[in-house]
Amino acid sequence: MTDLGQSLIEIEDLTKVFYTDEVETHALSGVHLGIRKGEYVAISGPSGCGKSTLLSILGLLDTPTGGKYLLNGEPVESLDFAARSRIRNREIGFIFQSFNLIGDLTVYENVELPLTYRQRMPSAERKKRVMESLERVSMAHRVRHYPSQLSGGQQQRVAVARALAGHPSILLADEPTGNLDSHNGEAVMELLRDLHREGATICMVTHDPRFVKQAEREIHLFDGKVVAEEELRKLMQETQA
Amino acid sequence: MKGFVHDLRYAMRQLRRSSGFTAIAVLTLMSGIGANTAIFSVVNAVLLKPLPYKDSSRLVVVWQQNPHRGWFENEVSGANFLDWQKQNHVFTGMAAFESLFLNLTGHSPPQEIAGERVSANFFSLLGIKPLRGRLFLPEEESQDRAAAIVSYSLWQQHYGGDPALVGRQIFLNGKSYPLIGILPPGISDDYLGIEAQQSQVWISGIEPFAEGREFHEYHAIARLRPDVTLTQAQAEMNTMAARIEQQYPESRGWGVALVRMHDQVVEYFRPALLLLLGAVGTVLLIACANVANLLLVRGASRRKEFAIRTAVGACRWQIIRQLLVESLLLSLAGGAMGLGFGAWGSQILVRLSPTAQQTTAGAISTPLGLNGLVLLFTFMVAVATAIVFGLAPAMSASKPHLNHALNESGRSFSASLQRRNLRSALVICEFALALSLLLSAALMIKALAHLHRTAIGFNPNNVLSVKIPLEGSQYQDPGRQIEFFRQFLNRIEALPGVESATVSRGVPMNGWAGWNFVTADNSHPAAGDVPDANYVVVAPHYFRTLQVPLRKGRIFTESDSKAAEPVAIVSESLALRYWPGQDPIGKRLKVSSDAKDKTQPWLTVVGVAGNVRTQGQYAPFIPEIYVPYTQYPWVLSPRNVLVRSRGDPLALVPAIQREVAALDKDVPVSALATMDEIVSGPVQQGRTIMWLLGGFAALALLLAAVGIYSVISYAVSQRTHEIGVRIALGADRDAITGLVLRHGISLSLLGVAAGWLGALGIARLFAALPFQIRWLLLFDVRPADPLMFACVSAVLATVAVLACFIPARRAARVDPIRALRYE
Ligand SMILES: Nc1ncnc2c1ncn2[C@@H]1O[C@H](COP(=O)(O)OP(=O)(O)O)[C@@H](O)[C@H]1O
Ligand SMILES: [Mg+2]
Repeated sequence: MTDLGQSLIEIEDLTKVFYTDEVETHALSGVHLGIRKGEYVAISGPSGCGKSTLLSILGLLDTPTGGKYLLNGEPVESLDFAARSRIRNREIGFIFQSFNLIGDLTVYENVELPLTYRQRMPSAERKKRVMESLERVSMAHRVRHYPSQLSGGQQQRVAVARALAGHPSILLADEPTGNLDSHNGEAVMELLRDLHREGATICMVTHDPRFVKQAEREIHLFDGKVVAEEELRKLMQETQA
Repeated sequence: MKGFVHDLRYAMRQLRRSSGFTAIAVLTLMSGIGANTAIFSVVNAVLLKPLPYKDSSRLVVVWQQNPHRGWFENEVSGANFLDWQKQNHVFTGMAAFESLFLNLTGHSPPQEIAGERVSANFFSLLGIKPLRGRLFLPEEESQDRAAAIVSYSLWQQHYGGDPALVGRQIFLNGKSYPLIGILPPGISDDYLGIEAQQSQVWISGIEPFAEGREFHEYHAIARLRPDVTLTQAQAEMNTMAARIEQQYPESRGWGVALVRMHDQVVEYFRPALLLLLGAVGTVLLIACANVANLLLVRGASRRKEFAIRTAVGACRWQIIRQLLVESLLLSLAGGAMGLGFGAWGSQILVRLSPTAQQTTAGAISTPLGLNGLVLLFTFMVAVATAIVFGLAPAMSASKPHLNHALNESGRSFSASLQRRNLRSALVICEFALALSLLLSAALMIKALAHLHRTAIGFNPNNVLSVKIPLEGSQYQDPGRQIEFFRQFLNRIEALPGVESATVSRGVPMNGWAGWNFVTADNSHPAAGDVPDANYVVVAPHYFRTLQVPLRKGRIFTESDSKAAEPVAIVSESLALRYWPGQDPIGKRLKVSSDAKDKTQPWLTVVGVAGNVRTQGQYAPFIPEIYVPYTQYPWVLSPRNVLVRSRGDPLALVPAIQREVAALDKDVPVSALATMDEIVSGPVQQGRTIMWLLGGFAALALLLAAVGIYSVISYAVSQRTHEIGVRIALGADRDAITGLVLRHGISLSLLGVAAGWLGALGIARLFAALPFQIRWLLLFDVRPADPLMFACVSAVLATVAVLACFIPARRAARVDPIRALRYE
């Protein structure tokens, strides 16, 4: 929220290379980035520039090929799978473009899911958290529904509730409005803005300029590198030309 | 028809294209259908094959029975037989016979063959016509006019098919008989059921019948009059038996039992075969469930194809037909391979017969070829199988989901849920069926273990048993027989590697002879309550050779001669029953039902021997009376020689043959067997069933494991995305592994729970069997055994966990990035 906030994420010279069929894809090459607690950061850039890759690495779903990643001051790039699972579970809240609710589980069970991966959380506490999160996104009246019985906007709100339930340090949202119509999209963005106002740290990928402006800070990615806004515009023009 | 041919061609192409699927499905079906073919070919050869006699459904076997003493199918007394024959109105004819072993001489080397002495009307009653010569004439019934008829195989093998054989003389037990006829091929003593000895020769001269109604020495058969039912005949025989009981006190307690000859022949095999038929049916059902599962998965992946077909105008029935043709092709391929597998497997089943080791006897010796009926059976099973496993998947796959399937992204939630439920239900059924099979096999294994733990009372290891029949005029004098065996046993015991040798009438588990006796303490028991015991005639070293322990007193010695005081050794069970709490040594008994009988001396008990399981592991200890052969040489028949060796007892055979020939070159050596073989005879069927059931249960377990593996694997592949989400939300590897394992375990536990119902049914079924059949199948094992249920369930659950472990590990290695990307 303010520049005085503590540093939550610090990455330095981050690279990611995908090797497929003897083809090397440099998805990220030398990214520097810091996110402080309470900040609302938007990442934008053309399709294929590495936004999702960056977010996956931030969310510890993926490991970088090179570079440093400090989360809460701790290096996390070389933790094992179990440790990374634990951090993902406690520190990260994911919001996906396609909601990614589990079709076999009810709304309630979907939101409860991250909490079930925590040991020793009393069930009363769990229930309280689930209901709080659902109330926060105004979906508490739909606990027994299955995702297929909800509209896209409702599903995305449940997904936000699921991300909130674990009280994460940061919400990572990858094009959260990409599968929604503009009305529902705006409702979800408003929800994120409210959450930010209440103190949540958010890092969101979007290429919708309307929503980019909503963030406090904008990071432009081009071809796996962070670039300044003017530079991006110039590069875009060059590519089109 | 044209549509069908087209379907067929397309189906072939489809199956060839997905060769992995086809191979697995065909192999699965092969195992299921093959097991059925194997068992059915035996059922066909044993249970369904009519006896080779004219109008055989009217033939019955006539037994005497004494339920009071627990004897049910007992041989009949000659006097009773003659009364029945005269008085009955229900049979067109009755014939008696007794089984014998005969020394066939006149050709070298001498040979002991099985045969029967029969009533003159025996073959005409069975409706057998001679191949050559004629049948017996009524006047040949008397002993001094006795004639002989030989089997086709004896004619071929022993006489080389000599066309001039009829009319010659044949030498049996040193006596000559006119050979009057040759039977057609395939005729033997099948009417004896499991006691069939593969008789080669039949002699007449059964008259005069042995006197005394207490001597039960003859078999009897009869042909029902066409207008009389078995029940009516039984009623009349009951009346006659009651009359005889009243007239003759020694017949007290003896009734008559009529058994259809076909039932008689198959009664020993029927329960086992029906049990096995049930088992292979179960295996086939499991195989069907597996293939149905594969087809469901395949159907799901071919939804687009069906949608296109529907879009271009195919109706649902046409799609179902197409899929059923594919199923039929799979099933027929599996059936064709199953035929080969079955033909091979049925050969193993020959071991069901307890006598199979000594002779390839009786019903089971009929060739187990793949005849028309077996082929038809296999074909029908294959077609039925195709429908069983093919219909549900075809119905499911052909359900119209036109829109969804065509725009691939749309997921039709309810339809896939239905398919998933069907798949789960199939796996649950597989586990339930496998549990039932496993339980049956476990019960059999336990029964066998109990049988093996049964103390038999002697040590069968390293003992050889042979028969040395001394027949003919030179051995008419019993003193000559004593002399022969005294010399022979001395020579044998002098051989290197021999520990001891004996001659005996009566080898444990290889026949017994119940004789009446009275004790001096109770010399006039009520008629019908006269005690009886197995009467064993032995040489002194009998107890040492079989290692039957002597509990008290002494064993026989050479000085127990004809001139000395007549002596006996009794078994513990006899002593306990008739002299409880007293010292049996010095007690006296007489082997006769009448204490005043002057022909039999009083015997003084000089020793008590341990109990021996004379009638096999399934039977209780029966009282035994041992007497020295030197005092009763004329009772010594059959003449079994037992030799205990230090090494392999079979290695002694040439030396024994040499010693016999040195004493008398006309004496054959027959019925070679180790005591171990004889002891395993009664449990042979049980052991075969155990191995087969165990094998089928293992197959069922394997199929169930494959079934749950494929369902869980498929579920994992379908749930990759979900697993990605879960990983993103912080699930670690153990959580994902657990998720998949829980799925598998819950399916298997549902199956186990369902299986418990089935298993309870099976336990009920076993419990409801007639006692004799249950005893033969399960011995003393309780069918409803909770511990067994628990063990079998644990085995199934373990197998399920192991089968699910591979897909579970795969699930835990899902790359969340990739899983989430494709959505
Ligand atoms: N798992 C992967 N394997 C190979 N290449 C990948 C993989 N994930 C992403 N890429 C490549 O990396 C680049 C960046 O992808 P991504 O981060 O998804 O872009 P964005 O989200 O900005 O559209 C693209 O060129 C993409 O093809
Ligand atoms: Mg992206």
